[in-house]
Amino acid sequence: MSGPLKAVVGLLSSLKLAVVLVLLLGVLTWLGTLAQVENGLYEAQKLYFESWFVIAELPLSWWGDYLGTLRIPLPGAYPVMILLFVNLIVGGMVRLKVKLRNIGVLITHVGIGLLLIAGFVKLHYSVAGYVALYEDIPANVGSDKVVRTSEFVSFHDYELALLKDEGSTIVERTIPEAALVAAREDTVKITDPDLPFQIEVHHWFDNCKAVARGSRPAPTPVVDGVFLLPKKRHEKREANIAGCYVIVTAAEGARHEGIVVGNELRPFTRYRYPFVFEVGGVRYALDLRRVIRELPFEVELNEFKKTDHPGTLTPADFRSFVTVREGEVEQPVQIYMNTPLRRDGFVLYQTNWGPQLPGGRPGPGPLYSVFEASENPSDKWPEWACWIIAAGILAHLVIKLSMFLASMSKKGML
Amino acid sequence: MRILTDHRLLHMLVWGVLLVAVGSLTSGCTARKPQAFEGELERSEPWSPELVAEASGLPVQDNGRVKPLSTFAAFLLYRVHGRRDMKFAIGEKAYKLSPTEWILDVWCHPDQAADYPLFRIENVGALDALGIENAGQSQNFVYVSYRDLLQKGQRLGELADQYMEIETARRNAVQEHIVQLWNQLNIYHQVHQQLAAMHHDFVVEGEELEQALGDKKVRLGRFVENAEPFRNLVRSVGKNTGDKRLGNAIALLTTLDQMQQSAGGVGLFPPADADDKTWMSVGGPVDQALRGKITSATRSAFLALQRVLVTADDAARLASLREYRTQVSAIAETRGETSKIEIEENYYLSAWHYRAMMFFIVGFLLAAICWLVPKSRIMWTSAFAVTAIGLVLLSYDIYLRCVITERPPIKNLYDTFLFIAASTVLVCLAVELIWRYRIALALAPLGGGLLVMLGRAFEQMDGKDTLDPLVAVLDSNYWLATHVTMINFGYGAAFVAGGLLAKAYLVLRVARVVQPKDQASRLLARFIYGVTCFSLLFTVVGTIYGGVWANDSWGRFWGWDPKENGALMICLSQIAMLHARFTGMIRDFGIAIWALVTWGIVVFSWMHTNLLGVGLHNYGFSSELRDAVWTNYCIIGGLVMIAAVDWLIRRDWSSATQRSEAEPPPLPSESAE
Repeated sequence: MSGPLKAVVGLLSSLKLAVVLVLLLGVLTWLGTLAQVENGLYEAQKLYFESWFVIAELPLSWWGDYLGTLRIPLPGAYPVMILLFVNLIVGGMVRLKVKLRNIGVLITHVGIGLLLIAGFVKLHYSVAGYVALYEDIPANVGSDKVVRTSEFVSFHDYELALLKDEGSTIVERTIPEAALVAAREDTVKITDPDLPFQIEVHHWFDNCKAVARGSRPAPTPVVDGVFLLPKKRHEKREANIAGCYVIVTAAEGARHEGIVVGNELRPFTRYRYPFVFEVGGVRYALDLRRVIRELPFEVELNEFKKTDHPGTLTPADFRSFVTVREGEVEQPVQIYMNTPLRRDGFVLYQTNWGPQLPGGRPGPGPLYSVFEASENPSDKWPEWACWIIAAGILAHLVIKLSMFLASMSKKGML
Repeated sequence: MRILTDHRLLHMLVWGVLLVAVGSLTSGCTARKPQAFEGELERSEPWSPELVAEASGLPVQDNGRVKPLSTFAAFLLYRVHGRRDMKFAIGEKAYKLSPTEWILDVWCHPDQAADYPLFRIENVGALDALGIENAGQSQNFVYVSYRDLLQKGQRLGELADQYMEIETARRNAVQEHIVQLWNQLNIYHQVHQQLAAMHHDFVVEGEELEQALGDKKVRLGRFVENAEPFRNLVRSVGKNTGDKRLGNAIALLTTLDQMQQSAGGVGLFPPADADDKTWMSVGGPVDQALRGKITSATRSAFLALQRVLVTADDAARLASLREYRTQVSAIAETRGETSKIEIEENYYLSAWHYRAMMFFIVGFLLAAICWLVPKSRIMWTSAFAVTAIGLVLLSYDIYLRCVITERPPIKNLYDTFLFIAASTVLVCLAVELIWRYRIALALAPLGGGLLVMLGRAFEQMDGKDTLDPLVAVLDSNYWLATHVTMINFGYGAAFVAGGLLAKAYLVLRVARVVQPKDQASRLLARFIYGVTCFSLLFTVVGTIYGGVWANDSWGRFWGWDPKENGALMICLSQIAMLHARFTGMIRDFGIAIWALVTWGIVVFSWMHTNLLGVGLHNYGFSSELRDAVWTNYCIIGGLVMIAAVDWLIRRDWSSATQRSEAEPPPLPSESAE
C-alpha cells in the first residue's frame, strides 16, 4: 500500500477518529435536542441530523433561566454518521483480528453497521404519510366523507398536479415541490412540448392562507379579489399550508391567473377544488396538494372506539376496526396502539382520531380515525441489529469478565 | 478482605460522615412548629382507631382505578398540602391528622376542615398578587385555609386564566404558582363540596309532599329512602306541574337534577351493571332511586353513608361506616375490583421502601465504621447484611407495586427512582463481593438511600398517585418489561459508575486518601470501566429496543425525540469512553471524569428532558425536578473542576505520556489480607 493511501486508510480506520466522531455525534444530538425547544422537532431534525453543516445554537441557561446563545459551526450529523460507517468498515477490515476474545466486539460492530445502514435506507428509501377515514356508517355513506381508500397522503411534501379532462377520464401529471420552491424568490416557468401552454409559478409560501382582500391593503398580488396572506412557518411542518400563484399562458396568447392552496380536506370530503382553466377547448386544472401514493390494498373504517379509564378522560385505548380488501378478498382487522397493520411491505399505525372536544372528549357527529402509513424497506432491520448488538456485548462481557476473574484468581485477589 | 491505605485523612473523612449523619438525624427531630388553626373545632375528640381503620380501607374509584380511601386522601393531601399529614396547633397544643382522619373531617365536619391550614404557598409574589397578608421573605412558605383561599377565588381565577394563556415553559415563578394554586383549589373544592348536599337540609313545602318524604326538613338520604312515595306523588299529578299537591317538589327535583349534573369527585358507589365502569358519586344513586332503578345494595350503602356523615355518636357512626363498606365492597367484589384494596392499604401502611431506606442509612453508618476498623470481618458482614436486607425490602416494595398494578416494575418517573435505587445497590454489592475494599460497600447504601429519598421527595412534590393506570401508548406489559426495565437498569449501572464510583475515586484522589498508582485507585478505575461496560449492554440494547417499540407505536424507529436523544447520548458517551480507553487517550483519571460526565448525561436523559416541554415521552413533567437536576449538574461540574485543578497540580500530564497506552496497568499482586 502506497504512502498517501496508507495514510488515508490509517486515518479512516483510526479508533481515535471513531472517538471523535462518536463524541461529535453526541454533542450534535445534545444541541439538536435543546434546539427543539425553540425550533420544534422537525426543523431541529433537518438542521442538525439530516444536514451536512450546521451553525449550532447552544442556549446558555442557569437553573432554567435563559442567559444567551452561543453559536458554534459544526458538521451535521449526516456526514458524521457516514464517516462513522466508513470508519467502522475500514477499521473492521484493517484492525480487527478474528479471535475468540474479539468475537463479541466483532458481532457488536456488525450490529451497529446494520443499524447505520437501516437509518440510511429509512432516510432515503422510505415513504410515509397518512390515511384518514370516517366510520362507514349510514350517516357517512353517500356523503362527501371518505370512508374507504387505497391511497395515502404525504405529511409534508407537496406536488402541483396538472389535470386534463379527456371526457371519460382525467389524466394527471405532477410537478414535485422541489421544483416549485424556487418560486419563493423568483418565478418558476414550467413548459413541455406536449403542453399547449406554459405555467409560471410565483410567490410560493410554505405557510399561508387565502383571504378575501376586502378594504385592507394586500401584501401579495390579488387575483379575483383574493390574495395569499403569508404566515409564520409552524414548528410542526405538517401544520403548514403551502400556496402559490400560477399564470397559464397559452400559445395563442390567452392568459389565466390563479391561486392554488394546498389544503388537504380528507377525510371531511373526498373532493378537491383546483384552479380550472380552458385552453384550446380542453379543460385543464391545477391542484396544489400533498403528494398522494397508492396502497396495494383498500382500507375501510368500520368503527373507531376510544376507551377512557373509568371516570376520567385519560385514554386507555384507541382502536379502529377496519376491513382490508385486496381484490375480492376481505379481511377484518383491528389497529390499535402498539399493534399496527403490516401488509405487503406497508405498515398502518393508529395515530389520531376526531372530532375531538377540549379534554379529549369525542365531538358531535360521526368519528374519524387517522393512520400513519409507511413503506420502509428497512422496517425490521433495527430489531435484528438490536439482537446482534445485544449478543455481541453480552459475549464480550462474559469473555472479559471470565478473563478478569481468572487473572484475579491467579494473583490471589479473589 | 483488603485494607485501603491507612491515612489520617481517611479517618477524618469517616468521622465527618458520621458527624454529618448524626447531625442530620438530630436536626430532623427539631421539626418546625405547626401553623395555628384559626377556626372553631366541631370535633373535639380524636377519631377512634377502629373508625379510622374502617375508613382507611374503603374502596373508592379515583383517576380510573379503585383504590383505598387512605390512598386517595394521601395523594390529595400531597397535591394541595405538600405533605402526607395535616398538622396544626391550637394554642400550645399540636394536632396531627393522618390522611384518613383528615378526609373524614373534610366530609363529616366540612366547616372545621375548611379552616385547616391546607394550601401551601411558597411564593411571596403569589401571596401579594392575591392580596394575602404575609411576613415577606421571613419564612419559606405559608399555609392558607380553604375558606380564606375561596374568598380570593375570583381574583385567583382571573389571574390563572391570564397565566394559562402563557406557555408553561415561559411562565415566571409567580405565574406558575398562581396556575398551580388555581388547579389545587379546583381539585380540593370538588372533594370538599362532594358530600355537602348530604349535610344540607332540604325544606319541604306542601302537606302531601311532606307526607311522602316524612318531614318538613329532610336530608338527601330521605329522597332515596322515600323515593317510591315521592315518585308516586309526582306521577299522580301527571303533566300538571301547577298542582298544589306537589308543593315545592318541582323545585326540589330541579335542585337534585342540578346536583346530579354537577356531581364530580371521587366515585363512591359502584354501579350494579358490570358493563358500566364508572362509579357513581352522590348524584347517581339519588337519580337511580327517583327513577325506581336503584338496587337494594346501593340504597343501603347510600343511607349508611348519609348516617356516617351526620351521626354524632361514634359507635353509631362506626356501625354505619361498616355497613357502607360492606355494601360497597360486595358490589365491587362482584365486579372484580376489590382484589388489590387490602394489599394496597397494607402496602402504604408498611412503606417497605421507607424501611429499606432506614436499613440503607444504618448500612452506610456500619460501612463508615468498617473503614475505621478495617480488619473487622464482623463490621463488614454487618454492613453488607444490613444493606442486603434493605435491598430485599426495596425489592419487595417494587414487587408489591407490580402486583397492585399488574404491570412490570416501571410505569412512571417515581418507579424509576425505586428501580434504579435497587439496581444501584445490587450492582454495588456485586462489585463489593468481587472487590472487598469497602468502597462499594459504603456506596451501595448511600446510592440506594439517596435515590429512595429523592423518589419520596418527587412523590411528595408531584402529588400524583403513582399507581394510577397508564395512558394508551404505554399500555404494553411486554415493552414495559423489556425496553423500560433495561434502560433503567442501564441508568442504575451508569449511576454506580459515574454517580458513585467515579465520585468516590475523585474525592479520594483529591483528598489524597489514595494515590494514582495505588492498587485501590487503579482497581477503582477498573471497576468504573467494568460497570460502564455492564451499563452499556443495557443502555444500548434498551435504547435500540425502545426504537423498535416506537416503530410499532408511532411508525418510526427513530424520531430524534428528546428522550430518545438522551438515551442515545448515554450510549455514545459510554461507547466513546470505552474506545478512548482502548486507544490510550484516557487512563484512570480520564475514565473517572468521563464516567462522571456520563452520569450528568443520564440525569439529562432521565429527568431534564421532562423539563424541556417537547416530545412524545413527556409523561412525568414536574417543575420541581429542576432543582434536583441543576444541583446534580453543579456537583458534577464542581467536582470535575476541582479534580482538573488537582490533576494540574500533580502535573500528571508529564508522567501520563510516558506510560503504556494500550492496556490498563497490571493489577498489583500484593494483597493486604
